[in-house]
Amino acid sequence: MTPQPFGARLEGVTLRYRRDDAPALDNLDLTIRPGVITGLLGRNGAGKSTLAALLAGWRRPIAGRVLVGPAGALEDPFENTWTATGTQLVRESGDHWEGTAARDTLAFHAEVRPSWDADLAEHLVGLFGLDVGTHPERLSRGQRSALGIVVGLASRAPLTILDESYLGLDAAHRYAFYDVLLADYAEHPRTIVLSSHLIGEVERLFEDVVILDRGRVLLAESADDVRGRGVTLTGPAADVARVAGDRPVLARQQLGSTTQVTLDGALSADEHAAARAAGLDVGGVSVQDLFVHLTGGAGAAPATEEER
Amino acid sequence: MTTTTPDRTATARATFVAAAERRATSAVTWNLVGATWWIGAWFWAIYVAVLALQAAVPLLGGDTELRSAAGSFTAPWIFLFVMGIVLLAQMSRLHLVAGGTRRTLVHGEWRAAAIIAVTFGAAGWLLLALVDLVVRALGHDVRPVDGILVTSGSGTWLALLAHVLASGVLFTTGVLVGHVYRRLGGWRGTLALPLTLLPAAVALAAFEVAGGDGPLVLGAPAWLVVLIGGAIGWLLAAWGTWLVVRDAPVE
Repeated sequence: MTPQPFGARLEGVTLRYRRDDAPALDNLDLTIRPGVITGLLGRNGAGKSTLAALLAGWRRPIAGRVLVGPAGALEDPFENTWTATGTQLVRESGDHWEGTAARDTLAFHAEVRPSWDADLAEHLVGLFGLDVGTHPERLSRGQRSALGIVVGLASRAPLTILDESYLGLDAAHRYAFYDVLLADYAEHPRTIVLSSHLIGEVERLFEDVVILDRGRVLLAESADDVRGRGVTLTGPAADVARVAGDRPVLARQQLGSTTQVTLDGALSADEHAAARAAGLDVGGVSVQDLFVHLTGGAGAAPATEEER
Repeated sequence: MTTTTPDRTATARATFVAAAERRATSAVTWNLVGATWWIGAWFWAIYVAVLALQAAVPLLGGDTELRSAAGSFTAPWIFLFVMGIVLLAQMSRLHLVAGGTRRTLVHGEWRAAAIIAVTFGAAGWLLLALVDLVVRALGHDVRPVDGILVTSGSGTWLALLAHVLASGVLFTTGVLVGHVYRRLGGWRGTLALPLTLLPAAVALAAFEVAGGDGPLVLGAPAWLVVLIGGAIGWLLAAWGTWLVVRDAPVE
């Protein structure tokens, strides 16, 4: 049967965990396109995990609508066998079957998931050196992450949501995971939502980017559009400052006499030519720099390059 | 391998959903039954040893009239109550993560309870009957202490009925208690115990009435009291489970 990736639409969605709490999601409108890898970004408490739980039908909003399914056939995912079978959410916590061997968790998924790929699961278990004879609660954080990844990828769900589920992996295994994810995605197209704080590492995978902030959508657009929102200039500090002028600076790095600045907004043709003439390298903005800028960074709003 | 996704026609979708629900329900059912018996193997080993000791010591001491081994007949019921709490605490979230729904989770629990009730109940009953048989074969009398197991007339079969129903009620009550704790947390789960233990209390009270020496309720025969009391307790526990689980969020 031909895969039909799931998309999702949220309309005016609000969710509070307690009556007096600030909303985890606040009148949120968002569309997740089917068949693409979407980066779901936000600072701690931005609402990423809540959004993931709503998409998986694990919770209900107190207001608004959540719809999930193939293009043109979106449905409420709460207590919906159709969408539940096609959605796989893996959280950092793992949600494994504790008190019994990790292989029992995999066996349970294999029993329930119609698209479970046992060969892929076995390959991933070997790739990550996962000891499936050990109870999940006795596994290291990295091994628990690996178990979550095996579940997330081998389920081949039309909507796969990985919510910080690979943060426990060491760098080598994370890059192995990115490679496997891309290869499997290319072979079996589906919708993948990746939530991560390791933006610099994973942004190359994103086709769409969603940035949440305090329960609201700050940005939702294609990764190409995001990268076109700004420009990065690299070269001698004086030349960079001259070309940057009074444009808002999203990020700045300096190594000796070489400076790299990320500027908000695209360059005009004349500015671009001037930058090239000055011998500066011109590139797009990184998702991470834009994310830091949009979500307020670690401190005050960035100044212009001239002010620096 | 290709990803199996729902076809757009209503028939194909209905077939897909029905198969998915069967698969999910079956996974819960058989994993619960398997885990209960797997861990239950330890329980049975200890239980058999205790029963053997309980029967052997008085025999070796020369007693000619013995208390029945049925004196510890509730042990498997308590074991199942605990298993209901523990197993559901482990499995409910996993089931939803694996693509099941609350409905298939509860249906799986109900079916597992039925299978466990029959198998555990029959095993418990058989074991106790066997012990009494051995004691009698050795030329000693058995003086039962549990009225429910020796009610005159249909005593043997009544005991079987009681064991099966009690096993089902206690397991399902354990499931209910476990779900309530998961949903309400420690304090409120504890405060809710008088309510969540009610199904087991109803069934056990009925068994007590049926096994007593006094007149039965409304003059009904013992087996009917056991059947009705057990069924009401079981249904209460099953219904309570559904009420608690049907819209429970995954924490």
